[in-house]
Amino acid sequence: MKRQLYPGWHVIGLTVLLAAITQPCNAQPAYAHIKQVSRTGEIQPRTITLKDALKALKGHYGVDIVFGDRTVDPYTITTDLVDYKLSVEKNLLNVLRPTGLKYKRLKNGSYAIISEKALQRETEAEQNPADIPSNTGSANGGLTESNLVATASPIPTARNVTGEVLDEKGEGLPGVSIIIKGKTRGTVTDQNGRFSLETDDEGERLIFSYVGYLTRELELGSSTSLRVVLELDNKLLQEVIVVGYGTQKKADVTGAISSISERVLREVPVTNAQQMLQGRAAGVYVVQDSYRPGAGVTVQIRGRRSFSAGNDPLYVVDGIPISGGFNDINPNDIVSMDVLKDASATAIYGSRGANGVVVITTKRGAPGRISVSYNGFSGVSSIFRYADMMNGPEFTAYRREAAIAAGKYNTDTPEASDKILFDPIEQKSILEGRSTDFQRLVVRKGMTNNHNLSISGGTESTRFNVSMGYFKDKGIIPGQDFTRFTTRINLDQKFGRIFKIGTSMLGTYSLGNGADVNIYGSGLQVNPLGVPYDANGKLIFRPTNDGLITNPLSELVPGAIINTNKRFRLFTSLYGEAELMEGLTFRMNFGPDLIKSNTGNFRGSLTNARQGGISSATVAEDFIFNYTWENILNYKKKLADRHSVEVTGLYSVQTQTQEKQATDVQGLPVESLEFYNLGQASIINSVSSDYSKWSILSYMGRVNYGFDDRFLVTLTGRFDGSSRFAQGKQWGFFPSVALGWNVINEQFLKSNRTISNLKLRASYGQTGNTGIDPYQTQGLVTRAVYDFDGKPAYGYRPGTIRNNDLKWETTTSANVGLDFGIFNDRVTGSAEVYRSVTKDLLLPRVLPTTSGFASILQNVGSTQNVGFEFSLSSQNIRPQGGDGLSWTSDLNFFTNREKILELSQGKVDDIGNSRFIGQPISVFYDYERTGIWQLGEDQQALQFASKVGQNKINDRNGNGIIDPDDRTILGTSVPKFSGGLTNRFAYKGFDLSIFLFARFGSLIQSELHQGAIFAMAGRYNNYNVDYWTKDNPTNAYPQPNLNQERPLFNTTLTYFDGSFIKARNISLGYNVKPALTNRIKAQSIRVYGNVQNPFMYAPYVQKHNGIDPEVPKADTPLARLFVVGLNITI
Amino acid sequence: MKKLLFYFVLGFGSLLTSCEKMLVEDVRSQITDKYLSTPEGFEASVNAAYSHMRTFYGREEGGALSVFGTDEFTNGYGGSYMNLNFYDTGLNPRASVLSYLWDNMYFAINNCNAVISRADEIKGLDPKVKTVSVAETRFLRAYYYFLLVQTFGPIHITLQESEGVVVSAKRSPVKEVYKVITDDLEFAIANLPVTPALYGKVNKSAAEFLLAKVYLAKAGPTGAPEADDFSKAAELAKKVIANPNLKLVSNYAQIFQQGSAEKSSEVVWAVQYSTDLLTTGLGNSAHLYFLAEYDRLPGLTRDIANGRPWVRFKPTKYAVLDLFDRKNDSRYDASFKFVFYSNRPGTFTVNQKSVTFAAGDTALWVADRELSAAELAQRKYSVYPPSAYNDRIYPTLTKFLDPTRVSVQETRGSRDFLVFRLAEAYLIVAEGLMMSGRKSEALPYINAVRSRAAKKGSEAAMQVQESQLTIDFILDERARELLGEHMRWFDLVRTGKLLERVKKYNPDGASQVKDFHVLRPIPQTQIDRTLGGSQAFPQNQGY
Repeated sequence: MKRQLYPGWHVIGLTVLLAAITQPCNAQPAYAHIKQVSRTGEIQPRTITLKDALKALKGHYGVDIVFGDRTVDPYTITTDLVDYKLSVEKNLLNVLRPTGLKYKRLKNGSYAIISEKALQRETEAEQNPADIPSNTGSANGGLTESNLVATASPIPTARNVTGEVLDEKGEGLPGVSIIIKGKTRGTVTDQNGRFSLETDDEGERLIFSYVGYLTRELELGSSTSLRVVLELDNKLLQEVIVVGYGTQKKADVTGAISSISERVLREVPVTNAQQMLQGRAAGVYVVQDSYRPGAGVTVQIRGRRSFSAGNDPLYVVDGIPISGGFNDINPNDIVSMDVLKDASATAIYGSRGANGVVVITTKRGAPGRISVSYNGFSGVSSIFRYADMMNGPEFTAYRREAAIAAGKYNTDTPEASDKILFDPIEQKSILEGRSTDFQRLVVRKGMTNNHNLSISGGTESTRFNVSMGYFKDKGIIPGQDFTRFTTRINLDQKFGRIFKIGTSMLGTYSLGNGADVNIYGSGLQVNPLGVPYDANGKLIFRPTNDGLITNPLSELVPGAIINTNKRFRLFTSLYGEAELMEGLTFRMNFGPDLIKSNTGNFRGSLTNARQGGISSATVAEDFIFNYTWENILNYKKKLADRHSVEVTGLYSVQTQTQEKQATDVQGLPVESLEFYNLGQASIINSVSSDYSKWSILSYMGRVNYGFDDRFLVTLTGRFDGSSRFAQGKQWGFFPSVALGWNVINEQFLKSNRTISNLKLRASYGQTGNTGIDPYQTQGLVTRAVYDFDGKPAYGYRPGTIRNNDLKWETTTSANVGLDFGIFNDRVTGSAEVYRSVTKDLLLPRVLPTTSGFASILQNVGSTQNVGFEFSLSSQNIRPQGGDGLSWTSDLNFFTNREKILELSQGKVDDIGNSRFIGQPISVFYDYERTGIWQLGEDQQALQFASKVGQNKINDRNGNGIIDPDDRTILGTSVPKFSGGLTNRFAYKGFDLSIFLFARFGSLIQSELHQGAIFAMAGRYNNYNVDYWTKDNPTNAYPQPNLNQERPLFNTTLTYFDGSFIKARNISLGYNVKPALTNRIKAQSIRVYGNVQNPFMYAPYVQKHNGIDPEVPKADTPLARLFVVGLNITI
Repeated sequence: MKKLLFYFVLGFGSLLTSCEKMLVEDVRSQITDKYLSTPEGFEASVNAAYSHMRTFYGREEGGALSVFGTDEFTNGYGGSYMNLNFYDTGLNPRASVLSYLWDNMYFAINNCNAVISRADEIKGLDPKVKTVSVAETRFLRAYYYFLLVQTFGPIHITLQESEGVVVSAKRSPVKEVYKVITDDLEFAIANLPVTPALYGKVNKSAAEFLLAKVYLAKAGPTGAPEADDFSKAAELAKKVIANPNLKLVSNYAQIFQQGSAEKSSEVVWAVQYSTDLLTTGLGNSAHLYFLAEYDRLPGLTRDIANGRPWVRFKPTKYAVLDLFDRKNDSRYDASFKFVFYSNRPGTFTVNQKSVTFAAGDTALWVADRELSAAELAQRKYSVYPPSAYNDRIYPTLTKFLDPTRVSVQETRGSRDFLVFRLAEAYLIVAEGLMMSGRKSEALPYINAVRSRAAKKGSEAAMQVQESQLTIDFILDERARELLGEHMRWFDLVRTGKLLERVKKYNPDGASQVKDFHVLRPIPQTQIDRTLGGSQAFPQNQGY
């Protein structure tokens, strides 16, 4: 929501406002006023601020004029100095003359306004190098003289030194002033950045200065030919941060905000916009939910607070809060993501800010020529790692052992025993050494394709950015794919002097297949002695005689299983903005969001679900209409030069209505009907529909006050009313305060050459959470069905407990942050420490069922999160010349400790829910395995109700039996710390980036170590582990046993260290040289190659043979993706 | 400017007042509990009170809790709840089958309490309807408490609908629980009609029947015995027999015929299931569990007529080989299925011989006797004599098979679950009288059952003498008559014969069954969630 403020000359009355409206659409802009005044001469010249005059010139000539507010603010001029008949330079000269300021034409065609004072200080600096004025950049930050290229030649006492001054891209910089230190003599570089200067002796020092660049000072030495590279003054490149309902310069921000720039967003090709957050911002923890194409991710900002009101952050896209469905957004359309983390930053979103806010901005047009760009990549993916399943001989040995353990195998007569134990197919496999690796039969090579075309451009009054995207991820498991078509239209139109309207329209249609099917999991289970095909190559439905184990390949026959989701979404954000008077704007946002989703499922006869029976089909439809309507009043004013005030007021409404329908049938006469004619089915299992609605009303106020660019205060208050709470408890008030101190602007740091930025921030405030399902306060009944003699007897019974006290879950948090930059911001970073306490948790409190209910949602208990975040960016090697080697690093590191402070019964552990005071929100509470009972330990094993070969459990309380009190907290899935590191190298148009992501100290529960594939019962194929036998007295895994469904205390086998270091992405790119791109009239061309998930180190993988600790499931596995891509802008 | 601001304020003001309404919840697709206090809602809540019976009768859990770990049945090959049969450490407070029963029974009890405690406040409710409905509901509540007290011993009693959050609970002595049950049932007997308006609703005889069973259980070692329990049981069961609407079906095999025969004159009360998939809920799934895994054998494949085998409950040798007088007792043949006919014609290898099956040829014989090698060699189909019975292939109990399901994989069966059969009333009278020392009076009742069971011409041979009447005989007779009918574990516990008979007849449970196994462990979740934990809600001894 960048806001351009156009000046009014005086307080505009209502009449003027109306006059403006009646003007034609292409009404003259604000600067027209000057024109009229000066041309007609009817009105006496008036006094206006220099700033406004410069803005007017900027607007009229369509050029960029750069100036510091503090430089130009003190001055006013009269309107007669402006004459649009003259050139922009002439006008600049005229308006600056009374002020003594100077302008400089910059290389890119823009103009910079600099002060006389600055020039003076520059001269002083010659006498005292330590005192270089900050607004022209500090000294060269510890640079060596290495940039000076010397040519050895004899040294005359008086000589002519020539050279060139280059910018960061290695191109000549015209207009650079060069002064011999201590003297008045000097020169300026020419069009090509070249200069020549008479000097006296080689001890002299030259000072190179240029607006927007750091001043450099060089000792002449013996060389007569110089090549000097000037560095951009990073501080003048003021980063703009998107805050709630507005933008701020980074220096003015008081909250804890992490911004992710477009460049970083583009580094890893992703399906889902949320994935772009992984490892990129301190305090943002992102975990992939599944590797099925189109699957979502879980994002937690600064840990979890809530048990049931959700821990998902609020996402705001182009100003409108968006609920769910991140796959609907084309990541390519996003230009920046700003993560608001502390209470001050998020308080503006009061009600839903407790879990942090992610503000997403999509690309908008900019004035200038129309540019067309294409971005695309194609990639091939393959499985990262196979699960280690048993092969035929291993399985044979394993089942025999299981039979031995069950006393169903006579080892003296193995042949006879085998005949009973194995069916004829299995016996044949054993005999012939036949073994089938079903896992490898259900994995393929995947393909990813992504193509985006966007056109953007505009004039001062109209800007547009239109894009189209196509994305297809054909996953590595057959039957699973995700295709997305997106369009986006962003338009901004100014009309009159006052009004501006615009829209962001995101349209998406996506098609997903196989999202609910786990063929891979089925593939793992099949007994390797089974046979997938008969002699004629026809699929065999049951690979063995086991009635429950079916051939996963028969589910891959086209039409056997259909699981498809079609989703359409139109997410629109419309705004109208009016500048009511100088500094006062009114903006209205309206954001309708329409989602329609159709899911169809079909299971043919020859599938595991139907087992040769009749087919089944379901159709589910979901329709969501959500709208947000916001009215924002903003007033900005600078008082007495040093005080800046901005006040924002808001009223907003958000409502969501959701309707669902579903039908479930079986017995379709022919399978080709799929789910397209459910009426033809012989049996209707169920028909259902649902409706739900919630609303939030909000009033918000925010005041930003800044004094002398040094002290900043932000006060925010928000009233929120949520329909989801009990009558009378619906409203909550969420205030916050934040303070900022730009220490760098203090006098005592002005002369510091090392520190280029230093800012302290502190905030304290409250936010709320309403993320529960509607109707929780109502005592609802549950449907029951019965019949009397076939006559329907529908019934209702108490289902939920009426709760008249349900209210907001509130988080109070304090944050202290430090932003710093050293060596001309060559190293920048920030550190944050925070503590947040969440009270009145919306907690489903499980109840003893003797009460008639299993749980109730209540406001009970509290949790705490304490954390530390650190992020650092550094330029390790700066390019020598334009295309020399450069190396930059971005590092972030964070830790967050969740802690339960209080539960429903105060400071009392809730063992039934595995919630413990002082522990994270979810922990693994279980028995502790110490090994396997070995031969000779029969008596002890018996005492502990186990037996030899089975899991040995720690009798923690030493009472001689294994009872529930022996359970303990084994760990938590919350990592102790995590972080990301990106290293980028560039050299001669090539760039290389390596992105590592790591987490340490989390415990995971592995799904590969439980269920059918870890039953250790000899029926399904099992994970190939070192199990106990009489001859192999291992302590690793228990003896298999035909009689069991799972090993005794089987869950104790599933816990592993979840730490990992992953290389998420390595990317190598090449930017085609301008000489070449110009030939085909392109602005830029970039080609790149990319490998995702090239390698990982994790104890779970390397030591315990798991696949991926991030998603430790017996489901679609992690893939490694190789990508080649092309970006062209014309 | 001021004007403009004025309009803003005006506009905002009007909009704010209208938007306040948006915070009132718009409940459309759900119904709040106020509905239960209307006459229609009252009726619906009574229907719901019945529906919980289906969580026990017709579900695997109900079967496992009453069939497993007895002398009649042991575990087959298939999956769940085998610990109930093994009596091993898997039978512990975390076993899901126990919390399943516990939770569902207490949801049911709260449902009943809601009916009973709201009944008096409902305006416009016909007083007659009210009284009968409350009587039905009190019968149901008594049943739910009865299942709980037999399974867990001392349990929590609650007779009011829960309001708000209740976290305290205590274990009331068994005696108090039985007091609640008998009070409810006496009310039910006093107020229930002999013939209810709808078949399937509780009637007076059902209440008498239940109370009779309650007295038998109360007299047992985990009950709260009083001197007159047995005689009360006998008197109540006699009243059931005296109901002129009820009479024994002449042919035992007919009782379990599916369809209209389910509503025979022998059925005192049955839990209702239907062919209407919209009202049958999860259906009567008992057809899954007793069925042997016929479908992996040559010449056979899974089909609707033969059923979907889950291979859970395998009869013990005691049940198949020892229990029945096969010569005279028709119940042996009526209870088991031994032969499967080919439904997958083709050529297969059977017994190292190539055999070709035509549809309808015998494909599997689960023999009821041993065969000589020569005899075996003659057979051109799979033969499993008793020595070859295994956990997949054994005689299948036929009572619950459901060949009318809509598809081969369909688990939802439509058979009514016959909870109270008149024949059992005779056996209750016999047991009650015998235990009260009135053997001679008991004799006719037991012989009545046996006469009906006799094969044609064997009526006399089936008669027993007074001297033969012992509790073991009664238990054997119950096994013959009621094999698999989801009550055996309770019968063994109340007669104090669990350990003895499991050790004797159940090979898989014999080694581990202990005396504390006459009660099941209280679910750990109940203990953990109760205010005061295990102090307030102690675990049963032994677990």
